[in-house]
Amino acid sequence: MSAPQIWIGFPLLLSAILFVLRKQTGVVWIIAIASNILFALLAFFLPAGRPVDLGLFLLPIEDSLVVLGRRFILDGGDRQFLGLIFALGAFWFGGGRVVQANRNFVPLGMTVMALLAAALAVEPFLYAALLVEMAVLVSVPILSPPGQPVKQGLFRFLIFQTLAMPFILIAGWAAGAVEANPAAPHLLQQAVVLLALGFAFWLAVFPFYNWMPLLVSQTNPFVASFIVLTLNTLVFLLSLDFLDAFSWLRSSDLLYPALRLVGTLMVVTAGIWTVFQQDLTRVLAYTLIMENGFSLLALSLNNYVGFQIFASMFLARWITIALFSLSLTILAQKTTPDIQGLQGFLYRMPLASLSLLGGLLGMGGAPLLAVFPLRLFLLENLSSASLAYAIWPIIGMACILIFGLRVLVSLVESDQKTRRAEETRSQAFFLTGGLLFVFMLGIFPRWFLPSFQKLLETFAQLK
Amino acid sequence: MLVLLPVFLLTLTLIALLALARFKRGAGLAWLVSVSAGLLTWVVLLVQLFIRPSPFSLTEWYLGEGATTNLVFQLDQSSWPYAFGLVSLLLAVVMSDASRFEFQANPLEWGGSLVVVIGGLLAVLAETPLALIFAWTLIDIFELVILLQTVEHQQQKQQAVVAFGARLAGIMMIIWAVLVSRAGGQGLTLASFPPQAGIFLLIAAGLRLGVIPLHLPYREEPRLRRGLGTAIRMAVPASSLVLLSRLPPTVVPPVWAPYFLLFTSLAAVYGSVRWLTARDELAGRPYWIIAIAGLAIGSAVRGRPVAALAWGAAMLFAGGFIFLFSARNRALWGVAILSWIGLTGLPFTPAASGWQGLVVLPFSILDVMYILVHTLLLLGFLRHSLSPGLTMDKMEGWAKAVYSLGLVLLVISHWLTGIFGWQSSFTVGNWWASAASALLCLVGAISIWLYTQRPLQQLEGTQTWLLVFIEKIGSALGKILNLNWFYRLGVFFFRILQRLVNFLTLILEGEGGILWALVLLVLIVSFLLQRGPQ
Repeated sequence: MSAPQIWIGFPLLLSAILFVLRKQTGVVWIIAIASNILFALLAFFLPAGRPVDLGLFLLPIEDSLVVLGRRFILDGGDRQFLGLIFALGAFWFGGGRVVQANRNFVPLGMTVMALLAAALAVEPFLYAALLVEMAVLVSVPILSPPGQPVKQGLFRFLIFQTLAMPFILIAGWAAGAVEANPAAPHLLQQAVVLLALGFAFWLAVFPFYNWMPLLVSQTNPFVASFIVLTLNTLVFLLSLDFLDAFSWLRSSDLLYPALRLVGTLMVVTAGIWTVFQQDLTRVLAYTLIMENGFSLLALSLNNYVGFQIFASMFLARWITIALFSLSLTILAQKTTPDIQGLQGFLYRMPLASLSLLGGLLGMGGAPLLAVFPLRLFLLENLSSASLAYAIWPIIGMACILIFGLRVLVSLVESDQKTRRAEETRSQAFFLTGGLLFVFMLGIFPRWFLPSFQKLLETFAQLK
Repeated sequence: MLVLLPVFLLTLTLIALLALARFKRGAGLAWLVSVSAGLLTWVVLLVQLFIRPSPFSLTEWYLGEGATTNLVFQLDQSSWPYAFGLVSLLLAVVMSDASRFEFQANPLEWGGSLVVVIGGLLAVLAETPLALIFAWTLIDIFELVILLQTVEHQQQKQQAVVAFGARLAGIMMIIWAVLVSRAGGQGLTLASFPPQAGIFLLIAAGLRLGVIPLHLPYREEPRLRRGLGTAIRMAVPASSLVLLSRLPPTVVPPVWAPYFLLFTSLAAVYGSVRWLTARDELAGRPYWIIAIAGLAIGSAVRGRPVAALAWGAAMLFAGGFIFLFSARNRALWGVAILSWIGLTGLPFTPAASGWQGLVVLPFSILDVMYILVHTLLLLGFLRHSLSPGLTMDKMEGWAKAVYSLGLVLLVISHWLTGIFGWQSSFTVGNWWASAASALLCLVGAISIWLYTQRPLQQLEGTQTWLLVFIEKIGSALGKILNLNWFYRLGVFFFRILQRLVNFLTLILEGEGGILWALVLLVLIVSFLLQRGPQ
């Protein structure tokens, strides 16, 4: 038995079984939630690097597994991250049932989760690029169920994500050449440009992010945000791999200013575009873009604290976006998900409305909510470099908060005297859970975030 | 941890109230629980005046390493008067509700008062910016929820959201102040902020209090019950005013100080005039807050944070008294006079130390303005507290006693605070300025009485040309200051920009979107290459 078998092999196997059973939505739902919780518990409690005492015998669990000459390694540093990812997976798949996502969501979503774990584990890490592409292709039937017309957003998503792969693979080849000939500047330039373009396509970096609002507004927002988040997490992990592996990249003079400029542009443009929106599904996409921008800003700090913030952001982002997209999709089942359509919904669906506000204001960095501690710490570090670096991200955040107030005005706009709660019990359960977790993480970040920072132990050079 | 004991006690009371409401036990029991817990907390705080508990600190709130932001709550001479004031106010709210018991008794409304006081207590105890940000957010959310649950008119709901937005802007200002401080390598606590960051703290307090820039989100007070409304309206400003007393003496760079003083004094003049001419004390409540907040901010700008503390305490205690003073008789008018004396700032009265911030030698026009503001506040207090109000004849004996006791307790608490509250609180102050203000107030009251042949409290706005004039001017100014014109202007520009953004979106998401993206990429790359590495 090996760790990659548990967290990559079994989820893949399970996803195949669930795919066969996909018409039995209730069964699929229960199995998916239970198995994700089990994988999370195993990740938290199985000891790394030594056999497990099962009472009758000792079960050795290896950290690595060799498949087709490639090694997959999941050691102690990865376990906490895996645990939290699978715990969040339970929330997402549970939420999928609540928002009536299409049948492919759970089985293929499990595949995407397994590919995420595989990308984290694979050596040489360049193969993660192929795993990303596999995840992109698997996500197509999730985003556009068979039998339904494929929309422009999905096409663009596929085009941009697929364009990235050759750039990354060629960049990997160029990077190898740079390692062999460090004195050849043209090779270095080629590698940097190819790498930058590849990541820009993958992460929907400014100006390549226009597909994202299209995709999220044309598909189920909950499902789309799951796919985008998972892929982004995967790609960000890959970016850490690159930084860890190539010293010439870490010491590049142009890298960090470029990350800061592009990150700032993403945060500011996403914020400004948000203020003028009516459609909340598009706003969900802009908040995803903004979060990516903040991740780039964290990387631009070029120190260990920056990497810590970068790693911690995964959890806060996952739970906040989950809450935002879940509540939005629930509300979208009753009305059009725009500012006009949400009028008076605070008195019809209070829990969904509050969760929507929690998610939206949370992404704006409002205090007490999950994202706030990280934003504050990031901004503090940016400002200690220069105050000018902090002002633009603050403007971006303020724009999201202003939009949040616009939504709040709409939600309370009702002359109805009667108050109802139209959420179903399962919806109420997931919304309450999400809301509580968002607050808990915002108020007691130290309970949760250090687990995610252990992820950095895998990257020996990033210290 | 003992520093948070009052917060824990009140939280337990809140849980008990919710449980009683859940099991539909009588309002009487809930009232008794609230009063008992309020009294216990009041005594605890009184004891903590003499035996100061050590601060509660959560230094490793986030990452520990490299993080300057942490949570510290402390009871010191800046926070104690406000904490004591909030708990006294709560006690007075619940006790004075006895006079209104037979009409409306809703334990959940006492729960609402408890919630805002808990939030207020956390804010006044906050020693670090992070603690303050948390507490402010908490109290703002509480206030918004209570208002949205209570008010029915659409316009008032919008006003509640606008007010929430202004307070959120205040919180953003604190965050910015933290960043400015961090950029200068300073600022673990509010008191250690450098002047270039302190100015943002001042703006944050001003934004929340409606003074900088002068704005009145609530031109008409939301129709809340007197007790709950008073708790909300007093707790939120108290949580903001405490910041002023924590600021370093040089909070504003000298070059900016005159502008700040101009703004705050104008706000104070406007607030005091409207307070005097308001229909009754409840209608005048927002103006009372603006006027006193103007005095407090002015004191802080002039480098006298202790004076800001005195005016903040006066806002809480004297304001709390007059807004809860619904049913009246001769004996209680005597108590009102005692409260009025507390507000005058005459030597060895609670607000005496406040004058050090209002009149600063060399004497200037600003000092005259502040004396005028204070006089108008005193006059308004006299007018509103001496008006007939409700009768106490129909109240049951116990209700009469408890109601009166609640009000007396508030006034006594103010005097206790004035005597023991902070270093140099029991002082002569600026005796001639306070005497001048009190004298002007009395002369004004007598003149009006002589001129109109009616007592001051019976003046109606429609019956004297002076009041009609002031009312009209005030109303016009109110229209300007409620910032509706600004919102309309904002909406106009918003629409224009929205069209532009929609147009750009159409281009970028249209058929040629990918090409446009590549053009933008080239622009960025050329910009980067031009700037070079940094």
